[in-house]
Amino acid sequence: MSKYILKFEKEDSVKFVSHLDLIRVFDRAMRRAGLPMGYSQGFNPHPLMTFAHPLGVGIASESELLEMTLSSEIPPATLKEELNKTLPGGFKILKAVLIEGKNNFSTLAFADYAIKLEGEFPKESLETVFRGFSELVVDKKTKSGIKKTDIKPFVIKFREIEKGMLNVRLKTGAENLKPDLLVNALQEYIPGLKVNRSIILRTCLLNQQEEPLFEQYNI
Amino acid sequence: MSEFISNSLDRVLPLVQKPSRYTGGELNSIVKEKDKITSRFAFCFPDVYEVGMSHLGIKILYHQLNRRADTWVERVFAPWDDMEEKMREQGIPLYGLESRDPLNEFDFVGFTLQYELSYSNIVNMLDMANIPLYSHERAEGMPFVCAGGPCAYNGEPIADFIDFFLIGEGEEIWEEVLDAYAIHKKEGGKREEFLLKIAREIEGIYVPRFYDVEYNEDGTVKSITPNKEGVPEKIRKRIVLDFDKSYYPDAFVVPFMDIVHNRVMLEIFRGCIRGCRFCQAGMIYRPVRERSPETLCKMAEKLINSTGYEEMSLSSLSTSDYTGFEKLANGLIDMAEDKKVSLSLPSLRIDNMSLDILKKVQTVRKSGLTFAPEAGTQRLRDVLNKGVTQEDILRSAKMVFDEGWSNVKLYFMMGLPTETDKDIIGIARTGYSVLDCFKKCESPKKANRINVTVSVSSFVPKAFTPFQWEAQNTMEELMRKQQLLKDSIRTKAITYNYHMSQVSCLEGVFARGDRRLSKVIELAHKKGCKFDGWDEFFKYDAWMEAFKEAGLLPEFYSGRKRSFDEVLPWDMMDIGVSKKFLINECKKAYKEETTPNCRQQCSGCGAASFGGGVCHE
Repeated sequence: MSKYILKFEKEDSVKFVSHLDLIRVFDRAMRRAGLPMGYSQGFNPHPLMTFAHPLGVGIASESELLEMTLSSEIPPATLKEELNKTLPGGFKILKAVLIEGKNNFSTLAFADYAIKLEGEFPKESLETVFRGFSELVVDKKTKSGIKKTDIKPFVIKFREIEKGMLNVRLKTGAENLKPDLLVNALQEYIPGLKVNRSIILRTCLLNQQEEPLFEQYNI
Repeated sequence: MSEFISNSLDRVLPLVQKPSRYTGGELNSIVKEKDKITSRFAFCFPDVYEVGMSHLGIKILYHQLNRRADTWVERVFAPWDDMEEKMREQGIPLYGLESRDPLNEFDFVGFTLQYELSYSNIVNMLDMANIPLYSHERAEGMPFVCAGGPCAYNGEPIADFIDFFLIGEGEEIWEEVLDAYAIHKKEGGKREEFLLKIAREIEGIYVPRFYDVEYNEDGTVKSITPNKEGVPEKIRKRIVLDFDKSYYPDAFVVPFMDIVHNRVMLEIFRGCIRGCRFCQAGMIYRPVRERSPETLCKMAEKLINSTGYEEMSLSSLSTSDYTGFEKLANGLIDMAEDKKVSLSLPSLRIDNMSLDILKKVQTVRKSGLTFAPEAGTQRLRDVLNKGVTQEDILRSAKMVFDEGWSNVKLYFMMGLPTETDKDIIGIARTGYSVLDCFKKCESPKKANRINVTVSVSSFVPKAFTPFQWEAQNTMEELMRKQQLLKDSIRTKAITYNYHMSQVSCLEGVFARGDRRLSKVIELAHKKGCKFDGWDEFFKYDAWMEAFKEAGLLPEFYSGRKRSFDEVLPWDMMDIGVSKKFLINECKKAYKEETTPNCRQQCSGCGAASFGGGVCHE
């Protein structure tokens, strides 16, 4: 069994493919390519694949990470090339590496998102308004149900690079804030902000030191 | 418009369940440049994505007709109610998945009629597409609304909504219709001219407006007569004669989400030799035509390569009767192992040969053995011409129990012609005899426990069967019989499932209904009826109100025993099998006489007139 880490993108055209469907997408692409996907033992074998973090439905990404186990070793470049031939449109492997030993994605701590908002905006910049909040309390789903939570501490960075275009860094993983919840909160608390459409792109997964996760695998 | 729809979808899809139902973009879906296309065809399956994408017919026609440079076929499914609400709210019309263009811009909007309870969804989809409901209301420039599939053999309940029906197998008729349309579009002509042309020149085309239906005082049909010259008195169904050479796709559209049947399907043959008297499919798809094992193995390989599906299965009315079964099964088992795919085999008659094969196929362990005796006594089985005997069942049960399998499913029906309480109790007896067989099993591999499932549904008489003149049992009769059976099963080792609901009553009305029912369907739709095949949506009371308002009685259609002389609303269809044969079979049923299968002896049903298939082997 050989383990690989893949960095891939999920474009806007397939942003509504759910996380669970993603496993099916990769499994079938591997089969079409005739590549030796590894499966678990037992009565209902499933493909040996783990994703660094589930991507919310409706969100695209430039940089997702996936760990895949193959039943025999092939050059990573071949894995990348062949999968890119068979993956459905909208999915693309950017890099693949072979890794030794154990892996876990628990070093994940943050994610960067580029959020484009379309609609009506207040006169002041969203960044200024956001900094002005001492807290931002919304209903958030937690393990023990829906609770009123202050999500401001989950937002590590918040920049408005042009009107309606935000670059944010959010806590991701064990402590997690979904970008669409942030957008809803902004709409709720910022008078003059009316969002007709939001286009969200995850641009990077980061570790506790705010370094890109893929760097630890040299990809 | 498609840009408006795309932008709207971005807003709306995060708010609905299973957005993948509405996006398109799946592997092997086909996108073309619309400016180069003559015929844009929206293939509409009147149910939700997961159901429609599991249907084989849409796969065949989609890929076949898309081979034409002048045609673009797109898929359309019924939006779930949460999405429908959003679509209506935001002014998003029903659109084709591939282009996101609104349906009313297409040349053809075609519905496949798989079951009668989908009719309200058809009305709803036309409404969401802003296409006038009634055929006579459609102006020049509107799409042609057409329909095909098994219910089209008696499509009269929706005839007023449909511009033309395609009777029989679509593969050949559609090529001819599209050829005719290309000429018509080029020359510029009116809708009526096109409909006349195809009604007159293409066999298998039924244009309802060219036939006048007159009724007797008592409500039965008096006559069905063409009102245009050159239009056939009887419409003869079309079939693909050389089925082995018939088109089959190299690739299927692979959905992102999970659907009902998410696997490679191989259609091994059409028709059925058995002639069970309740079965419409067995009659309308005659004569039996097979594909060769070689062709099927080639098809399987191409499909696995192009889809990456993890499972494949066989599709036919009676797989055990496929003459090349052993060769095919072994070929597919080898391929399955080689490509790491699992093979799923449908309910097979168990004998030594099939048992050997089943042992090699892993998936059977999960599903167990399935039998469809349909009736609880040999007498009633003979009435049905269902050639399964008690010995058959027990012999097979013993074989599988000896192998260590312990899941047995038995399918039955209630409400059958000549049925008595003795037959109902016979169902319980059959279940008990299987349990008994397990107890007596002495094999070392015998399983620890057994589970026998007895599944009972209610019989609905269908058009083009020997039982098309029968009265359907009422809800009350069925409930009484259901309780009787329940009381006769007194062991936990038998699980009794019954699916008997008011839905069957409605199904029975539309299965043998006439044109006047279109008003009922329109009214029911206005009252919010849709997804009638789904328990959570079915509104029996709304339907009954609709019947009342339309001045029609459901019992007239389903609960009445008809005489052989009555003109039936579907008498203008010629399916090959003759009415004379069906009447004869009905008489034999009442005498408890069986009829041999097509390979044992030809009974002259009329299907031989097509000049091929099993009749001419």
